[in-house]
Amino acid sequence: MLLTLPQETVNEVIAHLHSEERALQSLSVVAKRLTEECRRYLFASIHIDSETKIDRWCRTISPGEDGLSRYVRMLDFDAWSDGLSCLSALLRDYPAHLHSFTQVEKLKICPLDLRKHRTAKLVEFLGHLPSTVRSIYIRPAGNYLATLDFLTLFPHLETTLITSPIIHHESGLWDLPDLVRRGDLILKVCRIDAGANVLSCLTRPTTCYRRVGLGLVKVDNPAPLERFFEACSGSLESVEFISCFFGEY
Amino acid sequence: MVHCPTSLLSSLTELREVKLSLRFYNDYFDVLTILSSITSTKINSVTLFVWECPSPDDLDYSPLKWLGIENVLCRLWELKKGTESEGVVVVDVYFDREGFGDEFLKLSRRGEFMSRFQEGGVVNVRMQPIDLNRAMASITPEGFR
Repeated sequence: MLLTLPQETVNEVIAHLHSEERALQSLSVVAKRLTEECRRYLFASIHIDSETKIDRWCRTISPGEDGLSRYVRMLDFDAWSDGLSCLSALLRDYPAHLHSFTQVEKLKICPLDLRKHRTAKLVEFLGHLPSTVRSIYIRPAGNYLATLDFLTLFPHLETTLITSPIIHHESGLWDLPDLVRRGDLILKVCRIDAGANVLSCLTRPTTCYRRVGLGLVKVDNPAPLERFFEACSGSLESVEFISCFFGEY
Repeated sequence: MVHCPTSLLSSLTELREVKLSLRFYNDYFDVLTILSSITSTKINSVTLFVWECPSPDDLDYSPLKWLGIENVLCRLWELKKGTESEGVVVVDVYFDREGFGDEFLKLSRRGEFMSRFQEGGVVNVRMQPIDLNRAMASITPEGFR
């Protein structure tokens, strides 16, 4: 019955089943004309949080632009127990696979460890993503300047989420590139003070966020926050404060 | 002692939506200050995640605190008066304690919960309890939750 329907109707039926993994798996092997559409949902999002998952994915899915990796629109690299980023492990063991993710729109890398020797490698293997990535979620570790350089790779960002950005209390290093100063900015688990903060440098006229969310933020010095809002005054439509504390340590 | 600045959001002339967590015993005055600092005439939506809220029966404490919140919320629709901004101010209130939504909804229906605000705005008391984790998830973009 389904196979007699026009492709557009078939696509709509499959779209309704987007969260029904078993149904999509079954449909995808019924007929070739269903396979492509089912795969778009089955492989839309992948979450890699262990070495086992990396091995399983890379040994099962062939690398290459025509492979299943091209369906992935949300790519989530998490850390496992020893704190090693899955991305680092993938770079180490299966770097060629990173080239296969050609349609990623949402990218999560926690932690994003940009020590000197890794940055160039990341750029080499993630260099094809910037034209498609619209949302990024990072937990930077290590070199903040390198993190900012990394963000400049993504010229089409609409959402930037940074969590736990302050670790080393380096002053003045957080100056997000112009390209990232728009759309939605969400900062989670961070501290805003006089010297080391994410916001103090973000006061140039190019700042045009539409939405700013702050979650679990300790504000030791509210002046940078106030300046930040002044810089966004012409564009900011939505402000969210979840568990934000004003006070000194 | 560091407090929220009284002009924190005053520069945001395009502001339409505000979402805040409110711990009654902890950051009550900071939340009042944040809401009081709004000067935008375009506010359409305020969401409050209310935590550590005293029971509605706690007559010595609860009404007075809610009166403070109500006053700053009333100011938001007063700011809209005489401007070209469309729509009313809608306030969605969530609690972290199961059952509190019911109790406050009953009060609201009897006109005993933010009744003055409702002369110019809308209050929706939400049943779904929201704790810190859920609130943090709510500010996280879909797909990253």
